[in-house]
Amino acid sequence: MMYVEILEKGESMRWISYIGLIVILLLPLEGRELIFASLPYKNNAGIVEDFAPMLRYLESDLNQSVNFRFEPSYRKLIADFIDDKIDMAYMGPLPTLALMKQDASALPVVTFNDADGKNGYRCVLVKFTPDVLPMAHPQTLKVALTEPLSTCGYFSTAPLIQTFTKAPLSSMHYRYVHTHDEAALSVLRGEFHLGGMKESIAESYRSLGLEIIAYSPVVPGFTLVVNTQTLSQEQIETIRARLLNAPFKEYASWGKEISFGVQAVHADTYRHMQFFSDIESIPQEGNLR
Amino acid sequence: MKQILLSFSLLGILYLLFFLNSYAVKEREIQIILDGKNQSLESSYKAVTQMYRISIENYFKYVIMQPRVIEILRRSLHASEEDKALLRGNLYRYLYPLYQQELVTHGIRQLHFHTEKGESFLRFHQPNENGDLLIDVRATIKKANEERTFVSGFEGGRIYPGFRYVYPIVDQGTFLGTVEFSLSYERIVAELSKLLNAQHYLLLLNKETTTDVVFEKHRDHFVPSMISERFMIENPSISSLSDQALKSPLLIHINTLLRDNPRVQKLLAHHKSFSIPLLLEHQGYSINFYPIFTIDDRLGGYVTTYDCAPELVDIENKYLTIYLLGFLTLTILTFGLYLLLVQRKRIVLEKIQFETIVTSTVNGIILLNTDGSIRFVNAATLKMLGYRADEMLGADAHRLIHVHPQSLDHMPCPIMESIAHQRSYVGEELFRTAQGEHIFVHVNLTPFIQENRSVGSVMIFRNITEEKKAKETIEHLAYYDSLTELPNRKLLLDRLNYTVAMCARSHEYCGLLFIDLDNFKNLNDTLGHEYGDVLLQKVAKRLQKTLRHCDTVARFGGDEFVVLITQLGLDEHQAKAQLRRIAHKVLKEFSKPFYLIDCDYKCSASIGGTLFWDNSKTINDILKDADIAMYAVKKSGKNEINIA
Repeated sequence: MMYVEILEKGESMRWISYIGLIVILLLPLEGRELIFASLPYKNNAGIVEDFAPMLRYLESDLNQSVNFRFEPSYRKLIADFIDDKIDMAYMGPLPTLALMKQDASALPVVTFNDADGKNGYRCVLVKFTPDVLPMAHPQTLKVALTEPLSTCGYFSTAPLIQTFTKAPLSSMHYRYVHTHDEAALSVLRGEFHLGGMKESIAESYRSLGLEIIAYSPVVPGFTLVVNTQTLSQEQIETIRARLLNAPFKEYASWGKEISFGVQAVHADTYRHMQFFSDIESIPQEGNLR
Repeated sequence: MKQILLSFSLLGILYLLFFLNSYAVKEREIQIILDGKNQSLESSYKAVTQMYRISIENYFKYVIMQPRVIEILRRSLHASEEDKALLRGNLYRYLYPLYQQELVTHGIRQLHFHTEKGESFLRFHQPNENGDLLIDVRATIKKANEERTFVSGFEGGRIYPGFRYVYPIVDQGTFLGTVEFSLSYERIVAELSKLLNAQHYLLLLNKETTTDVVFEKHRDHFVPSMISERFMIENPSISSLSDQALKSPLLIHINTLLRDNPRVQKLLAHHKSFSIPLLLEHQGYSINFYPIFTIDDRLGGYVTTYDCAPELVDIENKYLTIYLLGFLTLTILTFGLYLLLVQRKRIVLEKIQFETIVTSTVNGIILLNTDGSIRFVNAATLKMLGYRADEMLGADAHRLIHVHPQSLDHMPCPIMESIAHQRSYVGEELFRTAQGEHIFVHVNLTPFIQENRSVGSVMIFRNITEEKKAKETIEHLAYYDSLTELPNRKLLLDRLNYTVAMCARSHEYCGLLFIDLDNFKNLNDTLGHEYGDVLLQKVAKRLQKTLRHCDTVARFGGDEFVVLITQLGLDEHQAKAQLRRIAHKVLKEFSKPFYLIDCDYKCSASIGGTLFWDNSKTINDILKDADIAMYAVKKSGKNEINIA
């Protein structure tokens, strides 16, 4: 009898401790500002331009302010997310997969539609129209890539290069230039013969003579990933519901990349990407200085 | 209480005037400092923008106006969209090294080519955004495009506002479009900070002329300025200056103060330079606003600097000290004034008291100058002496009113002497009235001292003429018999005493006759007392008439008379004989009838006498001897003489 009482007392003490711990953990969540980070696909001003309207839209329901955290690289973004320095992140499908593999608290809640309203996009290979490529010596080709963990980086560009030049990307000169815009501009500037990037970005540089020479299959759209470690379930549901129910007039005013609406993320959204490549095999650094 | 209220009111008014004046001077001093800072800002701003203009002009001349660039632009005039894209890409590729290595390095944020139609041809800062028509929203481009002239100034834009330098590109008479160099404010600040010593810099952008014209999607480049709703600042995410402004607690505090200050809001609407002084936690700051205008003379914004201004603290401390010292000084002065008012009131009261006393007193008061002239007279003086005030004032008092007895003509006037020697004088004097009448006055003369020196004398006097007469009457009543007007017993004893003393010195014989009227009681009893009184009066006159003036005839009491006779010589027998002769003479005179009212009355007297020549006998002894001698006559039958 005595033993049971002690046990019950121990159980109740444990529950009290749990509740106290939860309260302590939840207390800082209330009232603090949330942190949003995006893949560095543009410069800081561009990121602010694209996401500030969406964040303001979310703030009104969350009753919390959301601030930017600018990350210099995909890798740093993922590391900071794992360190719980980020509550929400805008990521491409590959970084999302990479993050989900490393951090169980990363939860994609919505994917952003492309211009045609489809949930998914293509990566492309580009060149400057007037440039003549040394196709006879493909190993001399210089290729601009975005980021090691960018979907349109090594992951998508390598197969496109292989198809277009009949030579592997690994045999060529390549360098990570971090952003899709920079990949396009570096090709325009003549620093690279070819560049890999998101189709919509490449399209915006057509007015400067950028030519798309190859398309990848459609990959899932960019995602808003939330941190279940730093956000409460209620907050996550609020974010999800708010974005899924955003009216056209609202999301149409957001940045170009995210102005075509969202779709909920399903369990099998990333399943077909799993076989593409082993993420760990992607070179983390370019071979061109 | 009234004095306190008056003093406090005066203190309040004086301090208010002092404070307002000091405050105005302080404000002028502060304004001089602020003007200096604002002029520095203006000069520095102009120098920096001018410096950039010179550099940019060189870039334009030697980098932009190259044959290859001209060729690209010339070909783009009539190119298809596809070709134009290639030309745009080529231009980007060709000039990118210049843009990146020269322009961006030197803070020129934007290099922007425009077509001859005023459309964007190539933005180096946003190459994939082109083709939009700018001529309607960009006054600089419109002017450079239409007038084919260089245009510079601050201006809003589709992406960023900036400091624009727009050049028309004309080749061999063909207008190829325009090119624009644009500076970020941060670059201006970087150069300004080399010239100025401001702590923070901020560019307030006029919403109406700058941020309202940017592309909708670029609106997030800007956030409210905190200072005014009409002004924006660049988003802190893309501007380190804004980031500092929004993160610095000091700037947040200052900007909140500026926002809540109606004067600042009013000045911001005036589109003129101004500076605002601030004191925060014992630190002085000068917030300087320099307006920059767009090419079409509209307000583009304010270049704003946040300067440390320790001079403001010094001024504040200086004026706090001045206010305090001023307050203390004025308080002391007011306290002095209060004392003065209290003293004045006391003096006024004393003056009223003095005037009341001087006016109402029955004593005459004359204030005399040191030369004896009259300076002041009171009403009692005028009444007493019968003069008008104008007759007395300035007149020589001695000549006008003082009567100096002839017997004392050789003596100096005691009043004038006292005035001359600044002495007090108390005495009885004779004054002359306006009517020539002489009056006795009791004079009390006191030196009149002002500021430790004599300025004359105060003479207080009263008319004692009546008093003197009354005194004489009293004295007469005390020493003389009221019925017969002869010395009474008291005076007789005085004179007898004196005579005895004189005899003791001269050894000359004197004599005393004691005279008692015979049958006087019968007269009273038969005819009445009025007959008796008349008899006594007649006897007295007859005795005075009979005897020498040097002899004393006194009524000793009732019907008794005593005659004191002096100077009877040194020989006793002769003196005695002489005394007897005098007694007989008296007795003979008594033998004549006295007319009493309505009848003659025959009267006799019994006379006893005695001699004395030294002080061996007292006056009582002398009287007693004479009395005994007289009684002896009475006993022997009356109407006889007995000299002992």
